[in-house]
Amino acid sequence: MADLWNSIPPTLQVWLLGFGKGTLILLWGLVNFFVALMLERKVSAWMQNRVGPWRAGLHGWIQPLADLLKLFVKEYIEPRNVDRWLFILAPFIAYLSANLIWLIVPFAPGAVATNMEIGIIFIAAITGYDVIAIFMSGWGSNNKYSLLGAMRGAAQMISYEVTLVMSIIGVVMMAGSLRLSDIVLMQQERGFFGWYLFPQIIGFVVYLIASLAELNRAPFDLAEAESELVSGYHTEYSGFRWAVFALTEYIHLAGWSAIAATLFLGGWSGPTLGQIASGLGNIINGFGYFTNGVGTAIGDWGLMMMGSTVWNWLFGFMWFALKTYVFVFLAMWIRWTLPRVRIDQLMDLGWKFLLPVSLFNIFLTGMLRYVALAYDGLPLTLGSFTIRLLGWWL
Amino acid sequence: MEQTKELLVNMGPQHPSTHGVLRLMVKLDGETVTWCEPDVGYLHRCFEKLSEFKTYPQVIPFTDRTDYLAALINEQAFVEASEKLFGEAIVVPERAQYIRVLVAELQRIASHIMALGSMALDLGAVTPFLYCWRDREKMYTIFERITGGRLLYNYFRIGGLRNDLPEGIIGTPNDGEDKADKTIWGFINYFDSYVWPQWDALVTGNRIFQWRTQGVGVLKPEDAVAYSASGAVIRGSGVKWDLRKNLPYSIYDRFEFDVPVGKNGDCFDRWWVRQEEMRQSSRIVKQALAWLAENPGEIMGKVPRILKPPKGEVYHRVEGARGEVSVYLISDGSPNPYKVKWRSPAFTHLQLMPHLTPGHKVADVIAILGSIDIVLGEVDR
Amino acid sequence: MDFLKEKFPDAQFSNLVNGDTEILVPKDRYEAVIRACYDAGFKYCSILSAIDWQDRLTLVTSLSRIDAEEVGTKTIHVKVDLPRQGARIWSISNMYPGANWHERETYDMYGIRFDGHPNHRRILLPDNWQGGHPLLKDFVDKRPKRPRLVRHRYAE
Repeated sequence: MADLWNSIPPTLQVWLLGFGKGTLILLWGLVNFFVALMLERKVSAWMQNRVGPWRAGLHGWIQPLADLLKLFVKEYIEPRNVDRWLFILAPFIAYLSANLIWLIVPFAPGAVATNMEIGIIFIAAITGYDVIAIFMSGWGSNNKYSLLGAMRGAAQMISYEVTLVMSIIGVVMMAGSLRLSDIVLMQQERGFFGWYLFPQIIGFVVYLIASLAELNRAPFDLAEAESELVSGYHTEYSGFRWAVFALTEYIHLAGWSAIAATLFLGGWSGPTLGQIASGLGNIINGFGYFTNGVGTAIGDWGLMMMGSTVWNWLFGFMWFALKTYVFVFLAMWIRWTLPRVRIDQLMDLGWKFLLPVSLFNIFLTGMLRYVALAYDGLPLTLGSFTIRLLGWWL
Repeated sequence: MEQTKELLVNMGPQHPSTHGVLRLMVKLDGETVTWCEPDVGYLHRCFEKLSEFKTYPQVIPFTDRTDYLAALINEQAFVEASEKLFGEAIVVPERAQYIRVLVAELQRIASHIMALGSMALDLGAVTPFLYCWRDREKMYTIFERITGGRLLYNYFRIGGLRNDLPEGIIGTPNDGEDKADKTIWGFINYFDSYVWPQWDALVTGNRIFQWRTQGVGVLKPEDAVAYSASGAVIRGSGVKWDLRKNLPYSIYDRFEFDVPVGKNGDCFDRWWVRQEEMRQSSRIVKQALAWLAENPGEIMGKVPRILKPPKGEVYHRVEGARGEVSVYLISDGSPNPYKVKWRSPAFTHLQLMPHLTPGHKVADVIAILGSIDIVLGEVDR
Repeated sequence: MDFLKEKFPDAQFSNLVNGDTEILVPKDRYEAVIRACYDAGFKYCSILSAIDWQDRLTLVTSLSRIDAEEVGTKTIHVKVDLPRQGARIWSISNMYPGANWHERETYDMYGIRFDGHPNHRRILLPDNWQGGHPLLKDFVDKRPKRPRLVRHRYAE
């Protein structure tokens, strides 16, 4: 296998690798769409005393497939006087921008499509694509509701991008790297209480709010506010083009949740199978006070499994997916609970509250880090202990 | 020369939150509304003309269909107006009067549940709306047992009611949540103990909801009077005006209840007044239930076979769920009404839209429309 | 209502069944009566409509006073007789904005024109409706009759 791989020219290798990774990422996006959409339906149904989809498949769990199939064979309705190319291209650009996020997300130890040094900056850059897509669809539809939705969407996303990036800066300052896999590794070293969620709690909350706004999800779903603007920027879309927008929404949701999980919840870091097994063995062995065969066997098996790349990958991936879906669930919970804010309130919230708060968070992080480093060598008193604790934390 | 232009947006007739078939022509400067005019008539069904060709009992089902969310109160308005035309000839039994008040107040609760839910939906909160439907379903199950219909009842008769309350529908004051859709007491207890905390936590106390409604669509008291507002709209503006108190019809002077008024006249106050009114309605329902449980009796007075009221004119005003429902009824001595003029609160309230919306954002138009709570069946009649 | 009897002794007064005051005034006194009512605190126009008596139209304007403490509040019905063809009358909708749509509806249904109305259009019927004013007693629907639906007969 390796011989075969080495025998093909390097250029082709790059192309093949890229193609393979791209395919996997698109597939992963579809999987996310499936799960997130179904979860949304079931979660909302659960909150609203309904059952949700129930007929297609077991408890309705293949409903998204049925929907996609139906939308795929549906007629493409293209209103007269649309700006044709903008109208057609917009959903696909949105889809692309949603999938681009996955390029830099570390799924498991070493499993990352492009281990970019400038990961965070890349995130900041690709959020811009979505604005373009929304504006293209809104402008190209030649519909007043769409135009209003697109204007709102553009204003909202551009203003919240700033806040979003500012809220991440604290994490970057603590990790000392823009590379997402480095950030995960740092958190893995620091352990559970060292997850950036705890020291960066301000940044985390700001990130949550800003990413909801960036995703156009309720309570910030002003761009498609269905009770005001019918369906906002995608009012005129039908059939598969509309389906692509729906795909985009959920892939985006999962993407931003994955970034949140990576930055604040330690990404794929978590106990692997080997660690769990050896820990279990340790417990059965009574932490060394007594030993028995079962405990030793499990512990030994755990030690053996610790080196297994495949299992480490699988468990890393599992933790990553779990953490991602915690955020997905949170977004759904918020969406089905809160009413929608108004555009001026949204802007006030973004510029007058969240941005200053995130700037203050940067300031606080920097100052505490400076203090912690400056007092590193002092003898152990209560004050210096506190400062060193802070220093370890930050 | 480049200049900004106002954008004319037609909200409706096909629009998710116009509560039926209403067209709002809105001129926008950016997101700000500069001009708004409602265009109604899409649901016009010639109710008034049609009534002139029907006998008095045959008009009652039509009144159901004007304000279909509070059908029984409309029936009450028409039936009581007709009884006034007869003067002393028709005496409505006391039990029938109590049952009328009971179902009318239950209907007011059902209608306000719907109003609050749909306003929450207009503001983008979907879940409260479905909670409302859950509670309204329970209520409609009770109505179905009393009247036989879920939405349109045709229950009141000139001179009384079609049927008495069915066996066991009143229940006992101890009925809990499990009997919410079986007995009236069960529903009222469920409503008082279970629905309120949920509402207050989920919607009324919600910060975003308060952002969206406080200070939006402020209607000053003098404007409320000038624009002939009534019901929750005028009370939200701080004018204590409730026809049940100020012009006691039926037997409302026998019940104890308060008239809640708002302070600022914004959307939140209208919402809050509706909410409080539901509590007051539940108080009236409790008093009526206590009376009804002890006093069985006739529910239909002595009524001639063919209803031919003497010549005359009558004007009857009733506090409907949305405001003042009044009927101007003229009889020329024949079995058909000579003229029926139906004053519907939603029609009158919709005039407020051009007054309230300018200067607000697009999203506020929807909030204001939700807060004045229109039913298009009633606007267009 | 005593203030009206003092000011307009020549008008015809009567009582409706429920004790509301009814005052029938000639067309040229309509404005004066309405203004007198407005000054007396009757600032709430609850309905405005017309009655077709086949030989004349009667415009009814119902005004009431909003007083929170008053129980058993009464309404004044100001009535004006108008000809059936080409009736015109002063519009009260600048004084009572709430009567705006009621006047439009009265125009729509009975054909009474209101001078000085800010937005004098049809309201419930379409703007381009040509069929007349439907609540008049002699209204005939002149639209072409819809073809009757005949049950399809299958070939045997």
